[in-house]
Order: sequence, then structure tokens, then C-alpha cells
Amino acid sequence: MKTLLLKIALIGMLVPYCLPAFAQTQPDEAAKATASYKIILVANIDTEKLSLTKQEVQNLFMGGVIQIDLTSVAIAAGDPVRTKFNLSIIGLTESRVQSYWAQMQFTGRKKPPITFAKPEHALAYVARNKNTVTYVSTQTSIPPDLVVVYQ
Amino acid sequence: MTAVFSKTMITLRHSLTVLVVAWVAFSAHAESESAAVDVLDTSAATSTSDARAVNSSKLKLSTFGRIVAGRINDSDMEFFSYDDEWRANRQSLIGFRLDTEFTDKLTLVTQGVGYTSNSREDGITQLYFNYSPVRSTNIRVGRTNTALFNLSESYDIGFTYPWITPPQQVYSEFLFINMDGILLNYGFGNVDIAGDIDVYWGQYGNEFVIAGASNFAESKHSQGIALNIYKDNWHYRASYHSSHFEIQIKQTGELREALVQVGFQDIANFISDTGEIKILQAGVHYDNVDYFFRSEWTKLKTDIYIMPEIESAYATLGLNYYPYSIYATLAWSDLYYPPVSNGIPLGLNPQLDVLKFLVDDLSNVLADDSLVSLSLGARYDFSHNIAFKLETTVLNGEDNQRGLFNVFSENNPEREAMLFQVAIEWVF
Repeated sequence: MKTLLLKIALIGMLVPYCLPAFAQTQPDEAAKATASYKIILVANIDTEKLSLTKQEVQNLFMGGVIQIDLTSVAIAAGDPVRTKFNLSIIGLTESRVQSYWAQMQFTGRKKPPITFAKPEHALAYVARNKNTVTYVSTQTSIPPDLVVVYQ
Repeated sequence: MTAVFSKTMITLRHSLTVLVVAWVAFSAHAESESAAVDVLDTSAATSTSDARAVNSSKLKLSTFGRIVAGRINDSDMEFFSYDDEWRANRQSLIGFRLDTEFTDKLTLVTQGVGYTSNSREDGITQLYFNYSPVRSTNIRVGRTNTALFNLSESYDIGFTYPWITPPQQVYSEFLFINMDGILLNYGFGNVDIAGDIDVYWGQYGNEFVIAGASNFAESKHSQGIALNIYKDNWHYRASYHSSHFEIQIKQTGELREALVQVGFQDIANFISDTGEIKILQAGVHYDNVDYFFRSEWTKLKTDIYIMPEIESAYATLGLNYYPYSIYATLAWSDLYYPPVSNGIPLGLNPQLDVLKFLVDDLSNVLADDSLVSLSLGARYDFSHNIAFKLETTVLNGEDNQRGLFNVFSENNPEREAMLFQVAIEWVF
């Protein structure tokens, strides 16, 4: 039994590498994700030269720690920009993101980002508050003081 | 059935009373805070799962619950207290969490749960101060759940995991410990990874029931360390926990005294109910948009005779088809009791004969055990905070062992059954 479990564990761990196209695509979300725009992150910071890695973006928006003093600002569930951000950068479905935050909330492990109903509200908040960051679509008009930190 | 209904109603009534009191306090406080709120931000902020949104609510009330019904397909057996009738009183529960923020850095956390099951105690399960001097550091002081395994802290919140019943081989109920103590959590991260580490120390004391008799378990020194690493969509976890436990079971205490009186100190020492428990855990999770993988391995070692040494593991592979997901889980456990060397001679006198039989009986009761199970399940996320689940589990224990069944037929050596469950889970 131990050997069998070990084999299953190894197969499971290899799945993400061996079967990238295994994907049963997420019908509704995939449609949104393949929309013509991309997601970029903009921040209200003093420097113009800051580039975040994907891991740092994941850390920022999933409650982890990064070495830069930034506060993440999110958009509420149901908005297509959030959906596309979760699918393309966080790499999770909305269900998984919600269950993750429920776990973090009820165990007191991590605090979710400040969240706004609409992208324009999130962007306006970032524009007014130093050291904050949010995600927007490339079709959004970005205030001149904000810096693109991930694209 | 009437007793079950009464217990359910009493539990729900207690829980609702606590919730109402908490909500009244919350409402009164929120009203007084409203003047301080930034009007522009309030209009923009939503109240999804994040009452932290922008403003200065000092009280945050969240609730969770689950209604779970299940049965097995064998009238002679019980597993996890499920028999061959549909029952909703085994895992259904309702709970709340109240975060009272005194300052940006100091919060009082209160969590209460009302269980329909008799085997878990209703009431305040967590009550602690959390002090966060910097973003990466949290210090908890008070009563908290001990984070032995991946789901130990969130086991009651079924919304957070795919299963209805997480693999029982790993998540045995006796391993849910609410410890009074201190926990230090430190988070770290760089351009490639993120992670955090827990170090904790505490004490534990609680009554438990065996064969209708009330017993007491106590630990004055429990400590542990847990490391989480996040890389891309992988989550690795390893932990080590050790406790010095004293488990006071009246019957074994009397047997030990009798053995000492007739000079069998070595046997008395062997069946000691005091000693060390050490638990090792390692787990790997992977999630992406299309599929998920979860596995966990645990090993419990102890020198307390009445506790088994346990090695257990599970592996889960699931597919996402938003808002649905399906999964298969294979789980396994081995329980092992070291054999007693019963050197009491037979036939010398009746008293010694009785003692010899009692030691043999104890040895027979504490027999090795194992269980393999395969679970197939589905989850439907009806909304952002409500999920429906279906799960069926094939249980297969070794013939003539217990197979983790609560009740089984002595006449039938087979330890096989199927467990069917349905559930609704929510968080608000």
C-alpha cells in the first residue's frame, strides 16, 4: 500500500508538468480570460523603476510577504478583470480563491487585500494612496502618476 | 431519532444565541464607527469576504456552517458513527468568528462552534490575542487550534476543502487539540518563493469518554514547529510536534496498581498512560485552473501504551470545471501497538491468573489496525460562499481487524463498507 500511495503521489506531482494540455477549459472564465486585453499591475510609488516577478504578485495578492512595502488593492468577485487576473496570474479559479481566503480568514493566517466593487474605484484609491498597487486591464486609462510594475 | 433532533436543536439554539449576542455588539459598535468612515471609499468598498475594506470597522463578525448527511451500506457496522440510516447529526455544525481590533497591531479573536455530534464539545474553541508588530510577524497568546496538519485549523470549515470528510486515517478526531499557549508566526518571501514558519508552545487538558466512562487527558508541555513554502502554485508543508501527555484512564490505573503490588513493575511500566507523543507531517499541494493535487503523510510515535503508533497518508487528484470540481482520494493508515510481554505465570494462584487475563484482555483490545479507502466526490460552488458536495467512500479494512469502524459484526470478518455523504457548506 505504501508503494502504491507513493506511486500515486509521484504521478500526481508530475501531472502539472506532463499534462499541461490536460485542461478541461473553464468555459465561462476561459472566455473572459481570452478577452483581447491583458492584465497589468500599476502602483503608486516614488520610483519609476520597479518590476515585480509573478511570484511577488502572487505573494502580494494571496497574503504573502514580499520585500517591498506595497499594499495590494483588489476588485470584487464577479468582475471580468478580477477573473482574468486570477486565471492568468494567480493561476486559480474563483472558487479556489474564495475557499483559500475562507481558510485564511477563519484561521487568522492572512488578511485579504482591500477590495473594491469596480476597477475604477480600485484605481482611484491607488491613485490617492502611496505604496498601493492594483491590477487593471490594458484598455484602462492609467493616471500619469502611477507606475506599471508588472506586465 | 428524537434524541438526535433534540441535541441538534439545543446545539443550534446555543450557537444562535452566541451569534445574536455577537451581532448586537457588532452592530452597536459599527454604528459608532460610521462617522469616521471616508465617504468616498465607503461607496466604493464592497463587503465580499473582506470587511477590512478601506475602513475602520473595529469589529468583524464572520460565520460558517455545514449540514452533512451520511450513511453506510452495512447494517452491522458503523463508521465515523454513521450507520445504515441517513443521519445529519455527525458532522453538521454552525460557528462564528469575531475579530475585535483594538489597534492596527492588536486584535482579540473569538471563535465559537456548536456541534451536532456528541463527541466534540460546543463552545468557544478559540480565544486569543494576536499581536502583529510588523506585517511579517504575528504573535498569538491564548487558546488556539494546534496546527498539526494542513487542515487542523480549518477542519470545521468544510467550505475550505474539497472533501465532505477529510481522510479519517489522517484527521482522527482525537488529534484536534485546542491548546492554551503562545504561537509565533513569521512570514518571508522574495522574488522566487514565499513561506512562513510557526513555532508554538502550550498546555492542554480535556475530558474524553471511552466506553461510557469519563477520562482525562492532560499535557503540560506541548511544542511544535511548522514550515510552509509556496512556490508558483505549489504548497509544501512540514511539521513536527511533541507533547508530554498524561492520560488518566481509571481501569488501566487500577490494573497498574495491582501489578505493582504483586511485583510486576515492568509490566506496569509498559502499560503506562504517561509519556511522549511525537508527530511528523509532510504535505504537498498543487492547484491550478484545471486540476489539483493534494497529498499528506503523517507519523505518530508514542511510548504511551494505550495510544497506537500511527502512520497514515492520502493522495488526491481533482479536476476543475468551474463552478464544478471532481476528485478521487486514496487514503491509508496503519495503527500499531507494541506487544506486551505478559510474564505473569498461570496457575500459581487465582489472583495472578486474573491479572494475567486482564493484561491479555488489554492487549487484545488494543490490537493493530489498518484501513484503506477510496473516495470519489464532486463539489458545486453555487455562489462565492456556498458550496454543495457529494462524496462516496469505499472503506476496506483488514479482515478481523477493526478497520477504524466504530461498530462491526464479530460474526463477519470482513471490514468493508461504502459511505455515502451529501453536504452544504457556507461561509458569511
